[in-house]
Amino acid sequence: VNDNTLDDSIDARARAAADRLVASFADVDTDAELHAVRRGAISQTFEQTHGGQKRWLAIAAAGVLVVGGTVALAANVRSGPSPATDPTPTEPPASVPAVLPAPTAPSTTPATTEPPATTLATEVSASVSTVSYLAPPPVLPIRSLGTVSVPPRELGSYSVAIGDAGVAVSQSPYSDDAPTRIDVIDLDGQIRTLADVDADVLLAYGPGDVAYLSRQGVSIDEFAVVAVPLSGAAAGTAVASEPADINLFVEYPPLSFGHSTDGVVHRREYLRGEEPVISYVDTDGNPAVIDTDPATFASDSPDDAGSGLGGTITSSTGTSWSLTVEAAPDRADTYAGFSPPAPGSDGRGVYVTHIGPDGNPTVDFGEATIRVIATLNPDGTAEWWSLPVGWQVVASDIWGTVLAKHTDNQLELALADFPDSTPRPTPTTAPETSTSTAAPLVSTQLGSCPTLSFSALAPGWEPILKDEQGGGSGLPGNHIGGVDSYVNLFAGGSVFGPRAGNETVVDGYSAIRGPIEGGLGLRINIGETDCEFFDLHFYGITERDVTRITEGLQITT
Amino acid sequence: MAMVAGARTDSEDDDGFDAFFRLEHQRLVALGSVLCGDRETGRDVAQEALARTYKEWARVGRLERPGAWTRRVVGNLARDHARHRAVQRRRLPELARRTQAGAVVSDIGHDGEFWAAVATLPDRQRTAVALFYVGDRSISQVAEDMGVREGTVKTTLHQARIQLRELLSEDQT
Repeated sequence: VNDNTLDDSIDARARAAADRLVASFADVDTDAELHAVRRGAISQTFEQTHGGQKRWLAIAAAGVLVVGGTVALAANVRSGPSPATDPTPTEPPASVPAVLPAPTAPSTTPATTEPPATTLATEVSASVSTVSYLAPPPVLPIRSLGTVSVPPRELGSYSVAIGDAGVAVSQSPYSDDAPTRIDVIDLDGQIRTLADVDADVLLAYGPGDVAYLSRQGVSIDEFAVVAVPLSGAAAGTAVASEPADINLFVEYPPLSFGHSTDGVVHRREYLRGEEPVISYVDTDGNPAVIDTDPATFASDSPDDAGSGLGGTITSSTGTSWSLTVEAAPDRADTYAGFSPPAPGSDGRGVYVTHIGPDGNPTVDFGEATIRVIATLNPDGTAEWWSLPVGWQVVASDIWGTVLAKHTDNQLELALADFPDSTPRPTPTTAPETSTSTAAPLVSTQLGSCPTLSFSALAPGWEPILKDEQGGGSGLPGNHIGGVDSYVNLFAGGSVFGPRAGNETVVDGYSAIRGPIEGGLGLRINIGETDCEFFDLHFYGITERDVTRITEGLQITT
Repeated sequence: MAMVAGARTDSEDDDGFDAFFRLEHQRLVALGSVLCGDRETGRDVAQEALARTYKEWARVGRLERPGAWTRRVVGNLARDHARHRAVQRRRLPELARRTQAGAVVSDIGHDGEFWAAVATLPDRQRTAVALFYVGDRSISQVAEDMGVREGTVKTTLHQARIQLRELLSEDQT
């Protein structure tokens, strides 16, 4: 009997057992359980157990709220910006700046006063700041902090928080009995490790050398937020604890938890009037205070998870920002929703989202591309930045904004290094690493459509080529119709086109497709008829990338 | 919005959630049961996952495959449950002795020996087995649900079968 046969026998046994198992649930009253869900039922597994009897708690009022929220979301989505039906203009300006124009004049009500953190100003004096996947903003400078080892994605999770003492990373392997470990990187890059922490997932760090984590207790209804000193006599053990609702601690996006004047908060719930999930303590468990009051940032985003499409953000300091986000129609959806706005360093706030086409459209929760961050400046202005490819914002608080890049079992960490200068850079004063050209870098006159290929690019630059999936971007009229018909190629994104392959045809024109590492945008202009000419424009990408692209690009007629 | 086969279009289900629920419920309960190790917890986990799906339906329902989202929630809740059990075992040695693999699957129903063996598999293998057999998912769908490549799923399932073969033959001897 060979190995395959034995494999087949287990396979057959598994199929039979699975069929019997599924069939054994045929008598479950599906309608009753559906009714319970529609009425807002909550499983008692995640609330309380009583003598082993599980009950369903129907909360009719909550159900109404859920339904109402759902309807409101759907209506808002339909009435909101609709990139899919608002495609790229067929005749874009000859020179689309990589760096968006500076926001309009600063607010007339700069944030010079600091009302209580929980008091939201009603005055709105926002200047509109726009970001578009068609012209991504410049790359955000970052400052490397260091690297810690973390489990591969499928074997565990990690969480990051920033405090006044540095950046903390908790990691929780999925395997049974594996303890939670916390690494702390101070601002000089020194790393220290606490190998066995009596809690589960890091929520916030500081003030002082105290981490705040969620913890599942010894019985199923003992879910809590605990304070764990990372140094001192009680290091690694909880010195304070507050019971908590587990539902707030499952499947939430980064930046959901952070600091307030009074304690660690679930940022969205705090704005709804909820108390902090735990008050601050020192390493001995005595009450502690935070030196600087963190502002709160309320978004008019229509749903709990946030749309990731901007809107009006109002700070507890009385400042408002209006952010307009034009995301690719096929932007990847997120599993846990979008992050709420959060405080950053130097009195600013931050708002993160992603705007590029789905990098992996074959799955429901694909790959976010063109991650961007808006800095919400105290003077009411806002600036957009692209995150370096592969990086995402994992924590932000008054001490800084932390980015991470997860590769296999390594987690690189860096701090956002927002330039101090305002007004923000313009195309002529772009960051050093960028270049922006209005004149074509490559231009030719051709009698027939050229074939463009990246096949000569250096190793590591192989384009990732994918067919458009499902409805795809559509973008009728994007690629044809005038002298400036064009194809866009963005960092982490792909050229719009119906076919795979290094060479493709977009609306009858040959084009290239694939991601550009670290770049911001490439525009290919193709002549109106018979491809009588084409030229390439590069916007805000590095000189190195320009060289590599032009050297690697093959043009065949 | 994703269309679900058999979706009703009357006023009670104008959002398609009812049809989705009926289509997915039974297998989600079975899936949760295998991942959690007992029927009742599996049923609770499935119900909780569906409740969260309903809460997010305006967003999830627009996905091409909303079931993938719900299956991930089932997996996460089951994993939370497993972590909770691990914490219990760490802190209550007596409980640890009583909740060995065989015990936690005592309420799975039919084929107890087989599911007890599945319960001893590493998390990744157990999830792949549950999705592939109980969830009736294809290799590519399991890969999507788990967020890994198809080749990884094939390898994982092969390793799981080898381990199950060894475990079940040990029991027979």
